[in-house]
Amino acid sequence: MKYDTICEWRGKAISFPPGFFVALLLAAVLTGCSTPVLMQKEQYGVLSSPYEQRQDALGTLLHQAWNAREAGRFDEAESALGRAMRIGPTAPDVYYQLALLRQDQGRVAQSRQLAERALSLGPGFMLERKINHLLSALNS
Amino acid sequence: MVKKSTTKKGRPAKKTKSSSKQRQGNPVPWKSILLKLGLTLVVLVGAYAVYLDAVVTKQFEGKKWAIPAKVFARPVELYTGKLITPGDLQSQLRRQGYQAVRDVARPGTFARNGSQFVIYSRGFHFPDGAEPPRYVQVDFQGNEVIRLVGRDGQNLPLLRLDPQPIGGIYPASYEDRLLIRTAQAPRYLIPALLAIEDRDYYDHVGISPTSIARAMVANLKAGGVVQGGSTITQQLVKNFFLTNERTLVRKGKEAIMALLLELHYGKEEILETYLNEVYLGQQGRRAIHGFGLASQFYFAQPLKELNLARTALLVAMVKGPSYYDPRRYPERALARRNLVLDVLAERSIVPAAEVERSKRLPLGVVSRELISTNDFPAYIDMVKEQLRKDYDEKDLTSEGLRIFTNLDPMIQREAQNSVTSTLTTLGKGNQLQGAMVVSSAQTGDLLAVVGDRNPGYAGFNRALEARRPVGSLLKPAIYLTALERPGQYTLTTPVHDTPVKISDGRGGYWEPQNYSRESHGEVPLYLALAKSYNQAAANTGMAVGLSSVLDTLKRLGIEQELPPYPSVLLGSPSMAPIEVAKMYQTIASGGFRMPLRAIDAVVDSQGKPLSRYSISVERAFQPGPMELLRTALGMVMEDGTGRGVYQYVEPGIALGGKTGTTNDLRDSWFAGYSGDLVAVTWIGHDDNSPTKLTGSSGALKIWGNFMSNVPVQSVKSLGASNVTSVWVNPSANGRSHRYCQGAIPLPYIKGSEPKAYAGCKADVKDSLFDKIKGWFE
Repeated sequence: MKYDTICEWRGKAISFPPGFFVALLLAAVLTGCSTPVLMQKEQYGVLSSPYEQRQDALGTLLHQAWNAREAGRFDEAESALGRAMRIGPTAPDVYYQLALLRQDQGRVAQSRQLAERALSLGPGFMLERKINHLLSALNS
Repeated sequence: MVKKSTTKKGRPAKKTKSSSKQRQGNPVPWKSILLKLGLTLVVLVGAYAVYLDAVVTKQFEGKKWAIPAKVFARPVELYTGKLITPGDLQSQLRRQGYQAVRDVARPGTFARNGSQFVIYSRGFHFPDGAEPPRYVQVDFQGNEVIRLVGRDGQNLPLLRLDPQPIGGIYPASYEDRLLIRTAQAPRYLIPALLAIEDRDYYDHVGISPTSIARAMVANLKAGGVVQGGSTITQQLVKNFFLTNERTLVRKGKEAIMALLLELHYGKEEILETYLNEVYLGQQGRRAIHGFGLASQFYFAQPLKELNLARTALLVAMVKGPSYYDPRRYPERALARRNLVLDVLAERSIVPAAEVERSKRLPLGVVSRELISTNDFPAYIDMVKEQLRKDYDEKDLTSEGLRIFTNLDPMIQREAQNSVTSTLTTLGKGNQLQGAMVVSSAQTGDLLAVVGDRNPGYAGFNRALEARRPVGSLLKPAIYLTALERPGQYTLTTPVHDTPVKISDGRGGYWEPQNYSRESHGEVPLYLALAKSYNQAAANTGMAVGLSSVLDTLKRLGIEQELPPYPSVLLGSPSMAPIEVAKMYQTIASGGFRMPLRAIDAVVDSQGKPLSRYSISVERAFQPGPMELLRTALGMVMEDGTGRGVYQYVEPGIALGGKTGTTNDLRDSWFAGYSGDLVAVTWIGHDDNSPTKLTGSSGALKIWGNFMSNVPVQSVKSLGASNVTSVWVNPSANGRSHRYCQGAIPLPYIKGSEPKAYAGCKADVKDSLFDKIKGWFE
């Protein structure tokens, strides 16, 4: 009902006071900060490779590794990550992927260490959240 | 005549008479004896043939040879952003036997036009599967690959070349071969081989009297020996089962075995065995067998890529690989190669025009130097050491395993060049020796090992075996132990560079001196490390506790048990460069301990993966103290004993490292890292006599020389969340301002930074305005 009302309002091009936009912006920022979007994606099993669009060498190998791991072809994933590590030895994604692989292989201690390693290499905001999520999953 | 003959006949007749009389009295059954003897002989020969038959079949069936493990470097991968000079790429392609051509049309060839290459890579079976041959255009801008384009005009993400073979793990016999199938032979190999060695191969039964006769005629015609009389089968028998002795018995044995071999096995199988068995050269103790390996040994190319001229040269060498060695006797080899080519034209195996074209080609043999610089025995020692944990020696030398390593051929070559050229420049004669270990700073991949000043030298491997006192290389462990206690120590905490006298734990006293024989009093901790003051290190080490320092060393990756003596603080323990590299690896990676990995993967002779040696890491130090230590090791390079490095490397590139010098200047060490590489260098004499070199005047030069010739990245901050950067006046251990003379920014673990100001403008510094201004700085 609430959503329908909003549509009707927009259809009628009702003008809002400036404070409304400020409030909306504030609400969006707060929501963004508090909702672990990526966490939810992974929890609900959205498994498409985040590297699918990458055309570079590192991205191609990470994509290959992701798909191989998801399909349970661990040897192939391992090889692709080995190559990726030679190309990008300081890329946190590589260590994160390897940590996921170790998790899938049941090697929890090494998965944790690799996740720590990924964190130490200055991941971006999004990746850092993923790594922390993995670490909390490993610790639980 | 008749008379004579009668007379002659008469005499024996008498004798016969008398002997027949004797026989009548005591008859000797000659016929029977002969018959029996004959029968016995037949039985004996038969039995011997049965024995030989067993020998032939036993050795010919199943595994015919012990195949040494083959070791490969990491493959060169090209991709957008890859840093490599076009010259280095070209020289690497040549080392791998890629042929420079005008039109790139088949695998194993390339063309270069300025900063643009077209490469047709070879297919290769990697541990992760087959990589097909690829035709790729590679564009450079300066020393960076900027684009890869496939034949269809599409951009490609990356190109993986076939890996360079770097040696093998040989059995005691040092017999080496690379097995091939008949189908892998180039077009003219078998026709040429048969034309020269055994033209009736498909018609005879193992031995061929007509071949011997024809060979004699041919040799007479040619005025020299161009053909042998033995069949291919006989030659195989001789090489495979018999010795080289030239006796009739051996010849007889050879003939019987050749017949037996032909009886049991098909012509194709015998021929294929011959192609793999034939002896074709020697490299030191290593015997080169078979056409597959010979092709690599002489041309650095796979056999199937050989052109007619090169094929003919290999066939020419069958007759005498030493006598016709194309490296030692190129004229002799060329003459015989052309003779082989003429025979091919004469017998219409190859069109005359093609033969003429081939005869004009040079021998095309890669230099002995290239072969020896393509061999990395010091690195292979490390591979063997790591493999011994998982494999038996026998499997390594006989099962044809393929070992994929982390060796980077270009880094290895630069490392060796730096050792060799620096030792030559230091001009201390041939006695001065050196060693070097290089690894990837972030992953622990072992990239290069140099064990001797001479490239390709396979003997005493100083990188792994020369255990020498390490001097000041252990000092970072003392200061790291201190910096892990931020309540007590920061980078600017004054430490005491004052005379010290400590019980040495063995009934005496230990009284270390500084290199300059002077004490410097109170000095900031980072400066004590940068200037490598011995007394400061000893005092700090004793203050934090010897056992704590030993524990830090263990966490850094030093595996050997160190004695709890104070002299350990100043590096009295003996270590090999590879052990030192482990310690600095932990520092370079920002506090993660990881093994130095020489091997990436091992596959069996069929290409089936057997084992993989992936990275494993373990956090050994928190990022805060590690960041502080790395800052101090950066100061060593900027302002301390390592500053000579910036005569080689651009000053803007951040590096970290430490010099090491031992008593009486016997050992000169340098251990350090960039953002992507860790390298440890050592110079000394094998007899342990003084070198007259310090770490700075010796080993540092190898290190700097090396770093100036490879792409180097800056060391980056670890970004530890509990570290803050503060402008300080280090000598007063107080805060300061950017604009004050002598002020420098240094990292502190939050809460441990100096509170009081000790900079310039003492009356203004504490004002609120100044503090606010400081925030914006």
